Amino acid sequence: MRHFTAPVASNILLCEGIYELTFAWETGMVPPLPGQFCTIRVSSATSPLLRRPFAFSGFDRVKRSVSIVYKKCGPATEIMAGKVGADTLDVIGPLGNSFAQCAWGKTNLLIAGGTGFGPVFFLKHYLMELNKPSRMILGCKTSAQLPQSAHLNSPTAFVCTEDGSEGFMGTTVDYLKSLQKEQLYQATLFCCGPTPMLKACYDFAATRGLQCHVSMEQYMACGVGACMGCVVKVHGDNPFARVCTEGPVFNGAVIAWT
Amino acid sequence: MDLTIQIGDKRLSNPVGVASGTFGYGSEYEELIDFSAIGAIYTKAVTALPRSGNDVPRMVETPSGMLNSIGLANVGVERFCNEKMPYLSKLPCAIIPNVAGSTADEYRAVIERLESCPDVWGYEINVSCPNVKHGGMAFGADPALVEGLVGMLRKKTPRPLIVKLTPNITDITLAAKAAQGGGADAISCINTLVGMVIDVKKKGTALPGKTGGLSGPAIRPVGVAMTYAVSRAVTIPVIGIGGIMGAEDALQYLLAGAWAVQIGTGNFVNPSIARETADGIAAFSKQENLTCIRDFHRFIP
Repeated sequence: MRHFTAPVASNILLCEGIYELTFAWETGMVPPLPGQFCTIRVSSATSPLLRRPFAFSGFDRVKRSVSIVYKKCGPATEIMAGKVGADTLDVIGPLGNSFAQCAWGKTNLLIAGGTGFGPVFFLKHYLMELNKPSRMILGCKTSAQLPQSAHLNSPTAFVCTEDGSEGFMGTTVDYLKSLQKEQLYQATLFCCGPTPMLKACYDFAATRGLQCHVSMEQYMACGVGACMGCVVKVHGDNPFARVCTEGPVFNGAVIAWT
Repeated sequence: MDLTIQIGDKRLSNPVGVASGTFGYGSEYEELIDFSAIGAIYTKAVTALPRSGNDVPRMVETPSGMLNSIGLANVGVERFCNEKMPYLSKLPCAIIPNVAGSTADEYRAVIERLESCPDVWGYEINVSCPNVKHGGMAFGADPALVEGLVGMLRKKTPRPLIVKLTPNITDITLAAKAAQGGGADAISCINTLVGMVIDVKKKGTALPGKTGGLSGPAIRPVGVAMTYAVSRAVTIPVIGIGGIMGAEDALQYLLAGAWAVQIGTGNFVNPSIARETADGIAAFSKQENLTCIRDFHRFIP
């Protein structure tokens, strides 16, 4: 990890309230992996005070730039949405573990909800480079929340909307339940999105004996493992694990779901 | 210009430390900072046995601050000595374990074990912990308990004893005098303020334990006022803590009567803040022709 100042390359609206911000990745730094994140101090003011964590949504080796996807949903992301090309960002990263540490399945089901499509796009691209088969399932409430992205043009990308305005009508888990047994044969799930979706994906996988890896979210202060603030409940001798350090990617079986 | 600080019979090379609970066991920040720029690392609290900490969520941001309820999550003194001290021993700054307990015996047990670690510089005694033998009231809320606890620990170690006071008390100067009376070498002032955040949508508290400790720039004026009061009530050095986000804030504490400062929440925002603060204090001292920390104390009566 490094603490650095990065020039903003672009900051574009992808869909309703959701942006993708791209910034320069310093030369000499190891490339980020899908599932990893960075923290950004959005302004030098004392409110909002804490750095905010953002998962990477892509890495461009040629341009040496990284992207993050975020939803404008509070004072910090309001400031983020106002960043333009001439601005710089105060970044610490890359942080946390990644999906890349997980064992791949015979097929890999990449499931995203809300802004979770960012890290899932990154993982999809990563798996393509590794020549590993994957199927991407992206869920949202309505088609206005679907990003304009080339990733969705792939024949292995599937869209679920709860109102049926595009693609499969229902949730991502409803979609999973619609798959045939052979489509799930030795599949491994990789999930990023709201916690209820992660739990539902894990429950789906567990009842079918499938591996399921989830990217957890929690309020975060330091982002480097020092403050013990961002823990989630897990099974094991220590009932808590830090999202910023032991995570954010966990095997779903480790999480003590509530 | 001499910005070293005498505490007990030892000296800190630099007046800027990093506060307990905000810097883990040091290694977490290894890739981000220059440890030689830090005067002292006050470690994550150490208790006799490991503690897993409080339920989640453990923190929430507040206006210019944050509320936390970590619950002294730590590895316990045995693992601290065996797993954390070997790393900490190699760092070029003073290592000051923050000692916590639910009973006086627990504080004693922690210090007795730490006495066998040669690279421990001194101890910071966290008297904000609930005392299970006194209905959960914090040790620090009762000056007689503070004096008794510090007096008992004083007999266990020749190393500097720094007592970290809670601000959640009617008159902090009474606790400070009690700490000095018990034999403390310095006072850390202040720990977090009790606060509560309510999630209106959920109609419940943001933290499952209902209240938490408020820190960050929001509490700085409280910390400065208490540092001012405590530094006039005792003759031992006072270490100012609360909302320091850079040199200007640290200078407020020094001018109020502090001999040193600790940075807490600010580390989360800017890991280089301790170095920047130390550099800023040195630059100000040079510019204002202040030759030692004592020189800061002559401006405000």
